[in-house]
Amino acid sequence: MIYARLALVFTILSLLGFGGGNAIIPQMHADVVDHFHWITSTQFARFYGLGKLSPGATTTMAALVGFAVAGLLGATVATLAVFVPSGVVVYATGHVWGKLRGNPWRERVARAIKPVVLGLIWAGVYTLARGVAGGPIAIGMAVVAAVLMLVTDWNQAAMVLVAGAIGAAVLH
Amino acid sequence: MIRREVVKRRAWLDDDEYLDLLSLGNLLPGSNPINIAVLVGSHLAGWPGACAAFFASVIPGFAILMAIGAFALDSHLPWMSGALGGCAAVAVGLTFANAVELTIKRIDVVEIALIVAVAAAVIVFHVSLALTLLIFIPIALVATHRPNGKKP
Repeated sequence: MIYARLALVFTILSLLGFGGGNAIIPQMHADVVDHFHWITSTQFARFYGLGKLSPGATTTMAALVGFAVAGLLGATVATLAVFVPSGVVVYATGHVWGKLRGNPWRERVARAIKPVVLGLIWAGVYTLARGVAGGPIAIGMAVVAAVLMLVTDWNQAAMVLVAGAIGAAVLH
Repeated sequence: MIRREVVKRRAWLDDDEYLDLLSLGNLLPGSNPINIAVLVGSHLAGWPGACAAFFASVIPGFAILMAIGAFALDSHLPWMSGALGGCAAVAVGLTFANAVELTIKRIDVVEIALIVAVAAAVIVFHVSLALTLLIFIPIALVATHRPNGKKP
């Protein structure tokens, strides 16, 4: 059943998503594009773009994957599956965490996870970049956005919104 | 932005408490903004607070994406396709810049080697997320360990 499959895929991503949303991008792509063929690589990059546009977590793009597969109910299942399991873990751990303040293991684990997550984020950038269609203009827009983000503190969602307007005018 | 709201404006938490929750939110599975919301909600009002904060941080984004998705995804209008393509390109550019910013903070050779090894494992050898974590977190625990609290 499609809803059970959506729930399973996104629950696993939720529980393995150490270090935040961008770290699960390669596995999400492997599942929803390469394995189940629910969407194409180009759609995946577009959903990610829309996810950045929305308030809250970029991972809300799971809603669009669910929507593309099985409509509004699919979107609801995917969204709950990607956020509830990790939310429960976070809620349960929050109580213990304060008590571990000053424990050397806390700092050690936090330091170990960072480079692993960063490697996953780089793999995610590569995964997403493969799905960007639109040739040199799109690549130019991506480069300009990267530079602007490094040298200004402009709002990211606003930049994506402007990119949508520019894309509507020049990318077709 | 969350910090400005919960620490400065509403004084729900002090800075130390906030940083404590932030470090946990970054560490645990799940999206950071949602994790922080759950932790702040739970800190203030137990599980009902956590639930309220959870739904309040998920529903607006969900509603907006459904509104866009409902007419954008099935659209074959060329301008719509161009708009989505523009969003995708710039979102990837932003994530690239974010990765650069995070990486240049980690000048340590061991950490850079780990970053490269993880990225290569996933991109070149298609190692799954579960296996990547299983292999590299133990390695990182040993490799990034600095006894006696020595600064890297």
